[in-house]
Amino acid sequence: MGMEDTSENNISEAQSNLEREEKQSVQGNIAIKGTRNGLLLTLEPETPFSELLNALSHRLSEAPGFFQGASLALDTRRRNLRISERTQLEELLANYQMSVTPLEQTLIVKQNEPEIISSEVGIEPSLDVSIETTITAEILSEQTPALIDRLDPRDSDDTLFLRRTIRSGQAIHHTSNVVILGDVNPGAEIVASGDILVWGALRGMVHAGYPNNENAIVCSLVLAPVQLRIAHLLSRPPDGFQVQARPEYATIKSGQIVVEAWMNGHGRTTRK
Amino acid sequence: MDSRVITITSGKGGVGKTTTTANLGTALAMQGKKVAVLDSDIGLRNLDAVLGLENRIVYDLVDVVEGQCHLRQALIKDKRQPELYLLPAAQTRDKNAINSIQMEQLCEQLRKDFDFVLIDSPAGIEQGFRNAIVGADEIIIVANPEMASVRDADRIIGLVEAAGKPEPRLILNRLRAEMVKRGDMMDVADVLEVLGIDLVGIVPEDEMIIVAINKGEPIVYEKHSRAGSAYLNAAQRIIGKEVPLEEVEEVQSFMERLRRMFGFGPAMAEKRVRS
Repeated sequence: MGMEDTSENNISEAQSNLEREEKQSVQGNIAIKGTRNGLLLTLEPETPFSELLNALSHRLSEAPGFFQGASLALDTRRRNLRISERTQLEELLANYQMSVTPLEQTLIVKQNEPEIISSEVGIEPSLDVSIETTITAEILSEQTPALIDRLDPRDSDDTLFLRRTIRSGQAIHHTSNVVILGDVNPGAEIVASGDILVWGALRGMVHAGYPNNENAIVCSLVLAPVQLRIAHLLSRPPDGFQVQARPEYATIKSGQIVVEAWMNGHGRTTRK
Repeated sequence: MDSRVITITSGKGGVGKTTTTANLGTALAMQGKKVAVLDSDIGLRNLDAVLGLENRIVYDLVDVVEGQCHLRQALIKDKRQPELYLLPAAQTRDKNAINSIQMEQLCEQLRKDFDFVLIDSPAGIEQGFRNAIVGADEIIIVANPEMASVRDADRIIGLVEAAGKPEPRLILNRLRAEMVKRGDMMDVADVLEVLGIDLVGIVPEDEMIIVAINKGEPIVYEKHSRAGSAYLNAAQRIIGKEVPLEEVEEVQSFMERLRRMFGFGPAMAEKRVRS
């Protein structure tokens, strides 16, 4: 599957494989990995560019439907491309209607305590990149059309779902939505770029729409947070606050955070 | 029978860890178990005083770990219970005097000779706490029914689970029935709503405990103390006996008792506690 057969490549491959063993699965000289925000293309630093291009071409031709229309980020941490090389790469990708995206959007830098990630998912976090999963060919061929269609902007496929109570001192930071099946206890905090839903009692600190998405919402069965933040606004329960035993949601309306009961028909919020 | 190493911790200070350790240790020994209680609060040791054994300390746990003496030289036999031994903490050192590996080894050594090893943890979440839980099979959290203590207990539960230990159990200490009735104090259900762990004991506030601590005699010896009987019951549950949880009752007036006798009081709910 894209393995080049010259001896000097084998040696450099073996070396780099040993180095990155626990992080990546490298097939030949290139690796294409799926991250939460798109595909990431990593190129072997030692290999001549023409061989890389061949390997990539070969890889793309194996599953053309899958890659069609996808955007690829170039991992330039270990290998930078010359302008001519980059042009050749873009031309190759253009054959599959693929585009190149900037690297920063693809890598996610998290401030999580490593223990949370490891215990939930059983994967060691690597350096400054969050959990990465390698795409397997079998899954791809089935899902080809769905993956390349534009996602409805109101949908997202990278919501974090946690099925436990978040305890005091635990922090969940995520770049999309967060759903908790459990409570969020005082002293716990959740910071999400998207919405936050707590199917339980929300008693800790939450910050939805971080850093400035004013369309984000916070919902809970029991909304009694220590502090509630949406985008750049901050609010706390008023003095004399009584917890309501009904589902409620918080949004920004007219420049303020407003909490309302979630009722059928009323509680629908649409995002632009 | 396999030894059980149980750490008693809380997060918050002053909630009753040392009192609980001393009393559970004594109660278990009264049931015929061989018990070692270990004070891991290096620098702020109290377990020796609560048991009335402070005059008998020659060696402490730091001496054992540093090889200055054998473990059996440092263990102090209790004044009243022949099967209860205390391994005191050092007072002139601090919590960095021993590390987790040494603690684990110490626990392994103690397992050989005792049915129960109870470890009195220091307050906090730093090295002292980590040392206290590293060798434990089970963890008991002591909390008071008030927000600060409950929050700290919640933090501790998270840390205990992150350390790979089984879910801890709770002893709710210093409950005041009259305050609960007035709505001024959290009740058992309020605390469990946040913490969500199993309850192994409910100990009411009892002035006699202060007297007991000053005298160096654990409250379980005091026949008329409800706190004492609460600790005795908790020890039974730890051994595996099913004992219904204490009702949160105020001291009742004669008329109240009369009414209850004739069936006019609220129904007494029985809660079973799993061991």
